[in-house]
Amino acid sequence: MPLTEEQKLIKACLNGDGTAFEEIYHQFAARMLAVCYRYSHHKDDAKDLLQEGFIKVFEQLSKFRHEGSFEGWIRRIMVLTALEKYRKGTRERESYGGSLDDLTDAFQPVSSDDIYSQMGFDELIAMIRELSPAYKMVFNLYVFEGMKHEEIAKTLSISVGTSKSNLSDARKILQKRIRKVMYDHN
Amino acid sequence: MSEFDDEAFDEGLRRVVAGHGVDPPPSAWTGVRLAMLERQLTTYKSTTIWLKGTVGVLSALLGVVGYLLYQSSIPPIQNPENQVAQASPDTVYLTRTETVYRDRPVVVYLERPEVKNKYSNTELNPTLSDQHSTSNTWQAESKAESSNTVVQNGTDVQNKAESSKNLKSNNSKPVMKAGTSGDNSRNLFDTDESNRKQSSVQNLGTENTQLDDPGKINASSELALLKPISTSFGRNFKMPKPRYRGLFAPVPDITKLRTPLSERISLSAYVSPDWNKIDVRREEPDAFTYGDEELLIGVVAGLRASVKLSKKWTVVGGVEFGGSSFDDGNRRVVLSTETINGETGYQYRSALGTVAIPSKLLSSVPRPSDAIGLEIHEPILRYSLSLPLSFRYELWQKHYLFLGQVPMNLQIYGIFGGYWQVPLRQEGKVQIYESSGREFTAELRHFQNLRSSWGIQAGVGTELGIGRHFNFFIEPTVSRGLTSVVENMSLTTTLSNFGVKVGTRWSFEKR
Repeated sequence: MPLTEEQKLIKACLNGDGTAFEEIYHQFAARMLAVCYRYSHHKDDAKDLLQEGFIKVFEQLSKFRHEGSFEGWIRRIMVLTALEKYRKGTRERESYGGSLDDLTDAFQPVSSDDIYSQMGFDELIAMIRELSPAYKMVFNLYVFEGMKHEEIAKTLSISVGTSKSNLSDARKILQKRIRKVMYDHN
Repeated sequence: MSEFDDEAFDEGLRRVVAGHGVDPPPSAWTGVRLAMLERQLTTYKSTTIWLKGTVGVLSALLGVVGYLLYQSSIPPIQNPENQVAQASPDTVYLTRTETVYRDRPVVVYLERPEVKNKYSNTELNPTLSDQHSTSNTWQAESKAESSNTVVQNGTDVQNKAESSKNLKSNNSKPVMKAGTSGDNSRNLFDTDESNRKQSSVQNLGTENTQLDDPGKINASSELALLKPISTSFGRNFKMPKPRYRGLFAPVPDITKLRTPLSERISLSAYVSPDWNKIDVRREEPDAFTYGDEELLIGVVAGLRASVKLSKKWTVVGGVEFGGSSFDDGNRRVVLSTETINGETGYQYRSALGTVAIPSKLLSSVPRPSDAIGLEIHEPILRYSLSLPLSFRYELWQKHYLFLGQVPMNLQIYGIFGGYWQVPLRQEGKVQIYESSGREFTAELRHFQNLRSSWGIQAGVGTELGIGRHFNFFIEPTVSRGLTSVVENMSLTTTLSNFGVKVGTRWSFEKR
């Protein structure tokens, strides 16, 4: 069975081909940096996360079994690296990273189409990055990585209730900010 | 906000984020590359330390094994006088038996007056002459004497000397009779000091007894008239029957070690498919731009000789000729001009050496900043010569008869040691693409920066011996290069391989 380009690239990496390393990096770095942005507070943090993640990718390349998407595998390593960094760093567990004062009962949710049509990628990423680390971590893992509350609770060593609470608060904060941006746009 | 709304919100975010990327700054890749390089160097250093330690331990082990083998090959030093101990006058301990002769009842010199005359001048011991000491008696004594002579036991010299006298005495009689016995046997132990000394010297390691007077009869001529008998002594000799007793534990070892060298040698011939692997360690950043070759399966043929050191241990040495090939997976390499030995040209770098592209094949003289493309369409052949030196240890062995007739021997053994590998030749054809659009095939022959290397190898083999000398063996072996096969490059390359040697061995020792 002939090897795909991706498999050839991986094999070349395993043989120590420096060009292949570079090719893999440039192929996935932009998308992975977007992932790193969501988990970081500053751009520099995101860059550090990207570098650490890629070093792990290259070190662990021999463990890739070709059973799933290579990009998904790299992304998982990036997320795990972010988690590792989160665990090592100061855990800001404050329940709130923004202001919930103006969240009243009259608060109306933002629809999916509104977000997609009126929000830019950079704006959205900037809003997510503004969340507190605890909110940001739970929100990212739940919304973008598809993890369940039980898994998140186990991964972050928090209770399921805390995970749910953090997610709910993060959503509210983001919706508030998104509404504000949409209002400003209109 | 309901769960549905939450899901809609999440989906909206996912749609915005999906497929987006952020171009990383160029410094990010530099950081990754440097970090990788740093880790690789750290790994290399730790590997080097580990290898040095391993080599040290292996060398020490080899030294200990060699010392033990050397010790076991030296026969125990013993005082010759202790080797044959005479516990009592009637007991003689022998380490070796000799053929015993008895006389034939034939006329010796009845029809030969000259012999008779010669013997008539011989000084005879009147006592012995009168007593007609029999040839049988002398021969029995000769048996005991020769045995003792082999082990150089000075205490028994008297027997030899006496036998000489008896010989003279016997020959004074024209006719000899066998089977005569009697008290004469005691005269065998009567001897004078001078004869004792002479016989002692002259009989060491030989059956030939010569007397002072050249005219006296030579014992060998007498032996020619005798014929062997069994080693047991009859009652009629009136001699103490020698009793053999294994007094010394090392005696079996002496017998074993006396196996001639020619019988401990065996010769083998084998072939082996070899699965090779290149391990590249890059030491400088520019090394990441080349060295992606892969070694393909090769073939090794070898001859080796082995010498059995002991029952279990054998030292094995030989010569191996190996052929393999490598390529870089049809990857096009762009070569820029560089200064080679003072001239501008192109150089192809690989994990297995460098080679200059012959400038005369190019359509134009290479200038700085020119470039050509290179592709390897056919693998580059690589030949090498190895000199392995190993120790073989027999783990298990079973002898049996096939169909009740053919002796067979099944053996499992382990083998370990080292090898020294010398590159012989490396050549191949590549496709060159010039910037002008011209392309041609160039033959690359003179690879540089190659060097000899050494490594270690270990394996386990199964050997089936058929008949008395012939053996067939299969020997899976793993070898690992410890030093680089290239030098003066920004990378180091070590080779490791796995092979299955299939061959035959001819042992000069009979089973």
